[in-house]
Amino acid sequence: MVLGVVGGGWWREACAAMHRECVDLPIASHPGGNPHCADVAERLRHGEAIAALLEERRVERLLDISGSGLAFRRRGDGSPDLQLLHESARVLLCSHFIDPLVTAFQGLDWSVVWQSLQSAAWVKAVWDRVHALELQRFGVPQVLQLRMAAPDRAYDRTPLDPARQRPVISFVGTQNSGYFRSTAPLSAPQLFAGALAQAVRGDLGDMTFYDIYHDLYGLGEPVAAGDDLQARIRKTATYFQAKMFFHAALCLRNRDRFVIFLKRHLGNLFQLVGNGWDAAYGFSADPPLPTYEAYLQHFRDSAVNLNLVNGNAESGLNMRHFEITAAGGFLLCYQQPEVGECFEIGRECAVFRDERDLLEKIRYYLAHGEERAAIAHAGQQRTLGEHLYSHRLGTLLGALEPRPLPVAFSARNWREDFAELVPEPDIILDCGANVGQMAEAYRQFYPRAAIYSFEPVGSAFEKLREKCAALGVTPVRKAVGDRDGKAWINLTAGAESNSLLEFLPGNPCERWHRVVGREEIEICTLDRWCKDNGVDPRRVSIIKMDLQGAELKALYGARELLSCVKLLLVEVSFVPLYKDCPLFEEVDRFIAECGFRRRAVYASDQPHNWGDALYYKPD
Amino acid sequence: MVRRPWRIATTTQLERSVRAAGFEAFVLPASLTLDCNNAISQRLAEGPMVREFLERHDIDLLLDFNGGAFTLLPNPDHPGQAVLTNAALNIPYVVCYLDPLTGTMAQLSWADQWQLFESRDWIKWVWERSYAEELGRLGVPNIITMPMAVSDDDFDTSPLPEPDAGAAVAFMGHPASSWFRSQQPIASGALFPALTAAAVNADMPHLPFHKIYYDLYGFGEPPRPGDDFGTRVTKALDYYNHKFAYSAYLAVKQRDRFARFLKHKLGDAFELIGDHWAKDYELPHTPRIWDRNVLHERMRRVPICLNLMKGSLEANMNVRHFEITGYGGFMLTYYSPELSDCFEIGVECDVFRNEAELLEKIAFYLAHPGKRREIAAAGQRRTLSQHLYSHRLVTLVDLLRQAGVLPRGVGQVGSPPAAPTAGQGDVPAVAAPVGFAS
Repeated sequence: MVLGVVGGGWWREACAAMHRECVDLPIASHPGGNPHCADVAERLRHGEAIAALLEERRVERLLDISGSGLAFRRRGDGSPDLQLLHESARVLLCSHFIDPLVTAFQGLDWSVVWQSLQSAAWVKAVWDRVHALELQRFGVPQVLQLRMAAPDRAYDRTPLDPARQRPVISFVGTQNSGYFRSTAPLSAPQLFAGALAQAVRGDLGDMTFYDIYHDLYGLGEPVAAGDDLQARIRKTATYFQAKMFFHAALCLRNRDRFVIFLKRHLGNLFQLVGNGWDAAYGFSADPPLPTYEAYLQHFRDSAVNLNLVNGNAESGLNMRHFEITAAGGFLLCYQQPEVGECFEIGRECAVFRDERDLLEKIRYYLAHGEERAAIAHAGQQRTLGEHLYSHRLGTLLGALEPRPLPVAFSARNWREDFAELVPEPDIILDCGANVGQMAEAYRQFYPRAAIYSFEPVGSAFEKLREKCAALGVTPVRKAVGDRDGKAWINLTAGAESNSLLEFLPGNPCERWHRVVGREEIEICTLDRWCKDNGVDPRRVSIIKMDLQGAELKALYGARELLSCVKLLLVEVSFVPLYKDCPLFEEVDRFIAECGFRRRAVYASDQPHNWGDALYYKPD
Repeated sequence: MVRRPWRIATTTQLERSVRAAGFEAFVLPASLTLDCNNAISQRLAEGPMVREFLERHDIDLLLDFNGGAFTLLPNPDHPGQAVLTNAALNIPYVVCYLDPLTGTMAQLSWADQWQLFESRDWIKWVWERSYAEELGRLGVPNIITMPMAVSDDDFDTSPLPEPDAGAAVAFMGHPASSWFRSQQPIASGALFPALTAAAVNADMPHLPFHKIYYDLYGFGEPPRPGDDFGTRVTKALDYYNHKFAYSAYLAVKQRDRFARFLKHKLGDAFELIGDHWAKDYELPHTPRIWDRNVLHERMRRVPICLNLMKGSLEANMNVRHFEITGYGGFMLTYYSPELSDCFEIGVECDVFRNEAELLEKIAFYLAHPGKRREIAAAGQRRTLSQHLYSHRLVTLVDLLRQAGVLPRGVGQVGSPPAAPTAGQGDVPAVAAPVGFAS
């Protein structure tokens, strides 16, 4: 497969490291030199210029940085409408966004950006997990998270000698939020959403702007399935405008504030390298380092390398995390939710949480050179082993391969199988009944069966109780699990997704799984419940479990019952949807060990994420 | 020597507490406006009436809320200048601030206000410790710090009645800030110190604004001993101007945000009792309850009485903390760092720290009415035994005695004392007489 790399950069080096053939393609020209500012006309010229090259070199994947490969072509039918270059060339475009979309396409009108984003042949690999989720929730297709990394190259791996390092605290970076220096007057109402979000983040550090804006506060309407294009453009434009001030506040919180603080408290011990600081705050700063080699060497020479991320990061790491560690420098960075996912904090890098902690850590690590060197060494090993762009390229290309499901879905529906396997059930246990959707279906299908519907959450149970009264079903206000007593259940944005398991950030159903509260509920094992309520396990014909990832635990609590029951209908996950959520294979194995055979797996409305598996006990 | 009880001139709001504390109370005449927003001319007009009253009743201490009784007399020695009425009679005057100093005296020019703040002729009883520290750094003398309290009353200590059929959760109060709805253009640079402080506050919630502003970031310099009055006025003004947006931020953080959140999530199960919510946020609400008895009964009858603080609060408590508990309501309040100095959290009231916890606690306490009643009863016992204004006044008079002030009938006359607590600034105070620009 031939890869086309737009603008060269680290993708070319990553291709070389992976021995992948790649074709260098030029970047759209812009008079200011900033590809983010390329407008429609420039991207159109660019598209026309490289279309032939794509065909000639038989490029199948286009790789770029921050959407620089987004180009247009004129339709051949003389229509004034444009088409996307990658679609017309039947090439998959993969953009790695190291800036947010709204920054990356400054030269394009938002409506053009939004329409382009709908392309299913364009993979949007976003570095910040929160930004990726935000786009997914807006309905943008083909979004995945791909962290930044360090370029592939030969790094100096010799151990650091702390005695030879300069005893300075260094920060390398530009001052790049002009928001608080703008002379354009703002109107206070524009600031409300940003200020509100900052207040919430003060108390709930991991809460995303999207959650705050839409779910917690309803400041705007989320994009809905029935919205037309114009409505979607308007809603997303309003959202990103409201987010502007939040970004400025984050930039202050994550970066500028600490520069100001250290300039004031450390004086010359703090070395600031980069542009824009003088204009912004009147700080003297050293000019950017002249070469990339000098830049990497700087990290090795400085005792402590500070990393402060931009305001456009809500959870992710910027490139500097990986560059400092790849070079073998000692990294001290502001806490960021994803740091611990990439590095072992305290062993491969160090973090600080506030001004006091920053000064303490600086003092400590200046006094402990050997520990500093050991952390730098471990950090370098981690980055060179896992966080180079070649690793990211492998992940990206792997994600583009079609992922087979572990099962084939049945063409039949559950009614057909039920009728064949258990035509006259005695007792049905409907576990995870919610408001009685399945209880109603079972009652219609089996008018004479005794049905018990288990639902622990108060609000759902009230509705269930009403429905059960009409259906002649017995409601039971309990969760089903592997123990008896009390438990906390997470209440989620989607009322059918309440779960005993913890929320898993980044899961594909996150939109419905976001936790909005908790409730203390009663939990029981089915075996104990049968004993306490005089239900003879031998009379139980069917157990249905829809427990949002907690099915396996509930099965553990029903071993006695499983020796008698005839039919088992269990919701199964093909990908992790909750923390510690057992996947299909594990559940399937346990049920098989209990003597059941799988009859069918029924597709859900999200067939790649979950389905319902039906098992029966052979005679 | 026989000591007679202190004779305290005060307003009707504090009369009962003064008596309950064992002092003699003399209510200032109804003919006085006692408005903290009075202009200088009104304060001069009311000065002779106050003097006559203080002299006639042989008053030892003048006490009020928010400086409504702050009156002036022409200075006989310096034509065109004025002197505080209490100072002319050598009577100490204590002003209990329910709002920050800078939130009162709105009719006075900033220079006039600052001149009054720098005066040693009265004592500023400030409820919020960080405000006291901040005033001290700015050179304001005679500051004492004590939390707010609830005025003494006939409290109903019977078990809580059954809840009303209405909302499960209620908040009684108005939106805390109109700042974010102002149509005035704002220069983005003016927001910088406030937004920095908000960022620091998120990581270090106990750190007050003045420490962030002066110590961590050096956004300004506090007044120095050699500064002239004009410089001091300017420095204080710059400081408070920068703090303005921070207070607006805190108003959103501590109050308005949760009112919006609960209306969004709970709908009619959450009742907003107060004014301006519809105008400011398009939130449905019921009007302010003016009758205090009705208000207090409502606190007892709503299952969960929410307390959300204003932006004028950095770490301490507002009146509502003591009012809800004093009248026997179950209080669920946003966490504030100094709350545990006055209440045992989880035993005498409960707190939430964010939206998720708020919903969780609401669900828990609605499901556990017995626990709610238990906490409300314990909270009421605590407030009635420790947090009435009569308790504060006993402490206040002890502080004055420690500073050498005695009742006028017993030898030494209470000359305006140096307050015994809270940081005095380095700046020498301006002695009376004081002159006014207006």
